[in-house]
Amino acid sequence: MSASYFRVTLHRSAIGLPERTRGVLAALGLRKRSQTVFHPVEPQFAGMIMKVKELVRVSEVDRALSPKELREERRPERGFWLEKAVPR
Amino acid sequence: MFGAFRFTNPLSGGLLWKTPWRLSRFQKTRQRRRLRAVDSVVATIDAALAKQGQTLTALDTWKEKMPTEAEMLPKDKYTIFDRKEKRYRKGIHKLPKWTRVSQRLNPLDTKRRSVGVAGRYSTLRIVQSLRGEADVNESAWGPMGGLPRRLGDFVQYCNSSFRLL
Repeated sequence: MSASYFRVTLHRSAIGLPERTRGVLAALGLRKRSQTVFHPVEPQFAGMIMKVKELVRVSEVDRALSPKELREERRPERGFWLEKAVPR
Repeated sequence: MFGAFRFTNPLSGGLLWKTPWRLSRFQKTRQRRRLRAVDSVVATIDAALAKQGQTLTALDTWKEKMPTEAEMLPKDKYTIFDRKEKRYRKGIHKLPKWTRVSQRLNPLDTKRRSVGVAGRYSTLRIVQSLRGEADVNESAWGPMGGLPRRLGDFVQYCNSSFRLL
């Protein structure tokens, strides 16, 4: 059985929500919107995600990406395209 | 009467809140999208844990109690029970932080209790019976002529009968 991870991204802000909810986000390591963290698939982390399920987007991935790799993901493709006018 | 100093509600009373009594078409769309987003998070966690052979009480409770977006009645998606309100319902947008909390189940209100089908059973029980989890007495489904075979039939029936009330 290969280890897998939850890829958790904070989608909605927790401003104005109870201290408990914000505490869970802090425990998950989520500080600001669209921040992504990885946690192993375990009941402990699943329970924490369940507490903030309205605020996050979750997917299951094979391995945890490093901050550098996450940054590479966001980098737009280099170079440019030449767009031609559509022949009429 | 006219001009800059006319006698309007905000001028005479000071503060006037204009919160519409119901959601707009677009608010409803976004509400459904949010409900489905929560469903997908739950489904992801469930699938991931099932692969590992693990269980989680919170997850099991959620799956047992909470209807998914498709299983919910429009009434429960967009309105919320309120004992002080006329006909016991108000728009869900009156609920504080309504876009970031899960509010899916409501108590039966008196109007609904007077309808044969949904009267005797909560939406939850009906959904459970359609999933084949709960045992519901067939004779109680008089107005529909027997148990609904598909969830869609039930939702359609409820919508038409609630609108008549």
